[in-house]
Amino acid sequence: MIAAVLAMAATVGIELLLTQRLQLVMGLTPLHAGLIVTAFAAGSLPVGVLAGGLLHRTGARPLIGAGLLLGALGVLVTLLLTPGAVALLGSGRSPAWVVPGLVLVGAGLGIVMVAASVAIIGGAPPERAGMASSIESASYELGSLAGVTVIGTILTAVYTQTIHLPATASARAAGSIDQARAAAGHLPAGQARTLLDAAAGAFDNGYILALAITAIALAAGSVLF
Amino acid sequence: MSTWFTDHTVESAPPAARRAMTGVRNERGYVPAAVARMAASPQLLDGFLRLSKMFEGSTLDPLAREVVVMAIATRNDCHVCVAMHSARLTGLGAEPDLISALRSATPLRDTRLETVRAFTLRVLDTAGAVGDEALSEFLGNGFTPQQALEVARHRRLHDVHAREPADGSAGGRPAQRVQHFWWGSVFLLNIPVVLLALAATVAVVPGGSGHRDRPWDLIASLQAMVALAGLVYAVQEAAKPGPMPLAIVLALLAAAAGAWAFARRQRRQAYPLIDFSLFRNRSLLAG
Repeated sequence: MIAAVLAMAATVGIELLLTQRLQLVMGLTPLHAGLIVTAFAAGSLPVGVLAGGLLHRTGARPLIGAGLLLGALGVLVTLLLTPGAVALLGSGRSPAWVVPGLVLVGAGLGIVMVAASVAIIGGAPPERAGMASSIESASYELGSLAGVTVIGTILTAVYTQTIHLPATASARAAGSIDQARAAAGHLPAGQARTLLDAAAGAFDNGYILALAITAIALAAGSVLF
Repeated sequence: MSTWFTDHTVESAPPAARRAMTGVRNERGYVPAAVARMAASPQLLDGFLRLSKMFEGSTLDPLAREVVVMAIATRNDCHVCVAMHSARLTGLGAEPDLISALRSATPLRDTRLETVRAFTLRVLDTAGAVGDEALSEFLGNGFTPQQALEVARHRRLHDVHAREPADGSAGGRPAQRVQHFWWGSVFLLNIPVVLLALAATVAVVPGGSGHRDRPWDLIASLQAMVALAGLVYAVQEAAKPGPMPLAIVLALLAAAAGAWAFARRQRRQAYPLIDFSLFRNRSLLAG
């Protein structure tokens, strides 16, 4: 249960962060942002098969620990290679730089989910298999919910706390980055640029904190197993 | 989007349109899509901008003016106009409710603005011959005869650019149509997948009708539902602006009662929905 909740919360949280970062800060279309985020699935599909083969030799818990650690590493790589977020890559660089980190996260959390599923179903006696599988399913739901709630709250809280609105911008722009983008639509070009830069900066404060917390949570989880 | 009409920049526009476009750009900081497209005909652009200026000098307040424009733009299916004026309404500090009602061409809650909207539509439907009843209703809501004429005159302006195919040719149409669907309709995509999965389940998945001797516990399901619905309601009420403390307390009490009844029933039933002793298994708990 614990591993399934943690892996799902991280998955959903990272997808939430990246789809917003790619669209609202880097200006990608929803389609393009979605395509980049599929790198996660590209990482998790092949390792799912591999982990299934390893499972009978190692048991579930070592695999869960290794997967969570790989996931934490992937989140860190994603954060470091997000153009414009930390000093490593300038904001002009291609959004495709987030792909390697995402593939790592997908691989790590893919291992965790396969192993968690086996541990949950295997932990119950055969006549309770139906209950165990509904516990597994409920764990994924709970994880998704927790991921969106925690990551979404961090993003909004940090944005509203750290935004420095230019004097010309409407107060609504302090609420969220999409409201800032809407407000910038009818400002003169120069003022619009200043507002968008301020909004992107405030969004990135939340983005960096949320990814850092995700990485720490995954690493802490890997120590437990 | 349009394959017949180009969105001009100041540089690509015909020389005669450049001065007017530069003026718009300096005033607004950007060139709206409608202006960029009309620039192909400098005469059309000039006429449009003159009429716009006249309307901005109108005695109608800015919000009422935008209501007139949005009523006409939605009626004409002019997407560039709707987009541009939605942004302007946001700039005027209009409520999101108001903007979405205008965009979906539904009645407005504000009676004064609804009067303006209804009168504008009447002007469009009757080509300006609104009749005494509509006119006296408009005037009865505190508007002047001059303002009635201004609404009627504004129809002309949008006639001008409704003639200009704002979303262009046959080639641009399918994409525009897609945007007309309610966003929720994207979930309909799931239906064929689910139907396929249902058919495949019947065909492929082994197993008969389950254990007839272990009945499904309807009462316990309802108890669990009360617990969850109460909890969700309490959280949502607490997150609302101006929450009602009494409603939150009652919802939480209902949730606690539902959870307690559910847990008690599970321990006593021969075939419970969930066996709590499962959570004591370390492998299950860890996974």
